[in-house]
Amino acid sequence: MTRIDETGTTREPGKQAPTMSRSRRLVAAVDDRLGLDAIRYPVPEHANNLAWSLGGLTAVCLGLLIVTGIVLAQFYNPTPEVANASVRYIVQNVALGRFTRSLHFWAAQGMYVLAALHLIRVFFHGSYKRPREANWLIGVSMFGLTFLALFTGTVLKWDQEGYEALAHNLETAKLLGGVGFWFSPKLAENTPILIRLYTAHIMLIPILLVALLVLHALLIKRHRISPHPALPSSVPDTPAPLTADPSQDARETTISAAGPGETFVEPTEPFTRHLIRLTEFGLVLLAGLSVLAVLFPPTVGPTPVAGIEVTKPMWVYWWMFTLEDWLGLSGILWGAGVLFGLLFLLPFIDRRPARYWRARPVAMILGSAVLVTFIVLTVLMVFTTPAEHLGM
Amino acid sequence: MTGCHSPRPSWMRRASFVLLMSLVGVFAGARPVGAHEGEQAVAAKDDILQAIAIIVNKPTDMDTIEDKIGDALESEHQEGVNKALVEQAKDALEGNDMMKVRDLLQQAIGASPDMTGTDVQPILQVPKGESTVPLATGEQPGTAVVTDEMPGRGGLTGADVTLLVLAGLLALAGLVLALRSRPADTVRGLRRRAATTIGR
Repeated sequence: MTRIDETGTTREPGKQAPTMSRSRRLVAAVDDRLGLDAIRYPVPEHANNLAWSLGGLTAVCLGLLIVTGIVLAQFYNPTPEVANASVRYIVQNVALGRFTRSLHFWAAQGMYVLAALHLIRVFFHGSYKRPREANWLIGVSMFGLTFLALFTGTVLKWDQEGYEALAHNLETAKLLGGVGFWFSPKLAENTPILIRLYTAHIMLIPILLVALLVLHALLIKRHRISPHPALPSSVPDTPAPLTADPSQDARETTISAAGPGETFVEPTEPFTRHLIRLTEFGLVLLAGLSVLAVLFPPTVGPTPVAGIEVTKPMWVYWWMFTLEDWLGLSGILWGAGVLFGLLFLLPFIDRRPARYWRARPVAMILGSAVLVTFIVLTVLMVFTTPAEHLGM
Repeated sequence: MTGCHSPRPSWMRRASFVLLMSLVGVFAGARPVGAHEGEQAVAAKDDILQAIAIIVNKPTDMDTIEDKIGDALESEHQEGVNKALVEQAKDALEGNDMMKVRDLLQQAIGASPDMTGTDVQPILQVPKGESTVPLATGEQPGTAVVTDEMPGRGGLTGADVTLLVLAGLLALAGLVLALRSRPADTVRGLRRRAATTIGR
């Protein structure tokens, strides 16, 4: 009579089970109940380098932000009268408070830069093309949320710079009419808008980010990591079919060129191996951010006063503020609208299957033009004295 | 190779159209900026707070500071302001003594002078009845005292050095592990192998 052991293996009576260490048995038991083995899907060798790990490193930054953010939230007071003072309290009185805040500050910028580099990498390799359009849209949405998180974080320190950022946001929201209702102080007149932005910063935005991150990861698993455009791959690049038998899903362990006489097979490793490599890169990233956090901690600006415009925003927003200098407040709106509009529309405009950059000259030229415009607008802000645009 | 060349890339026209419409949108959306649209009578106390904020954030902008003090003196709403002290501040401004100007302006609105900007306790403990600023709602900043900027850091402390050493060790560990577990082939190597295999 056939027996089934604790790992789910069928065995003839009288035959010994293969010896398993205690830790292996534990992993097997957990896997049996949680299905963790599903993450051991094959990852092609080309994806185990730094360029293809930028998305994962962005997630590492998100993790750092959540951990440091939880610590900061224990001491931060989002009441306008004392918000600035509570940030000073964190820096001066809380053990490792200056480092924690500084690491949060640099991890936020790290996340923004890495997400932007990840988007550029995906664009360069054409990884947004069929069947990965939806995942591109999710990625762009996450990039937008990162931008929002940076903005709300800037406001929370409640100094002159943060307050002026908020004032710009409120004025810009007015240009949107009813669509910008959430940013109107009139939505909840008795509640300081700082408190509403705080809830967005610590709850709404992180929840959305994590939810989209999970979806992003699931879609990567579903479509597999995109093939390198310079290497032979199966054509067309369609998603792996869903089968009733999970073991069938795992059968694809190699990615090979399909064609008569073509025998090139790109080696693969399980995704868990990719995660280990990501952890190694993550250690270096954490070290780099820690050095920045120690050597260049952010200042805490003066308590804010309404009705003046005397500060420059964080570098992340400089491109927008150059546009504001040229076009008025609507420049911020149009700049953000055009950038995110182009990013969202990209997979619907560029639908040719070609992925290698040399086969996509128009996309490369337009992409480079957008990038150069972005950099030039940012650099111009260095030499610009911001004009007053707020009708305060 | 996955790419194939189509003779007429129709998406190029679509991309150009989208880009053109976006640029038209940007410039069509631009409107002249009215710096003083919807201007309302400002209370003297607000003018003084603004003057202090400019002294803190942009101390070289003497013209604006002078304008704000002038506006405060001319304002019809002088509640909570000691006008004589504002006059003294105006005189001190002519003598370029900015510390004194700021001190006098702070006294003029009943705010405790906090010239160090590093001690947060006076901000957290404004004595009852001294603060004339009500609890903030909506977009109000709720500021009673304009503090100085707090610098990022002074000299390196023992804790800073410890953190830097730990960061160095982390970086070293990460680099060594990443080097040891690097893939057998680089993308260039894989391309070479692919070319050799397929060309065989």
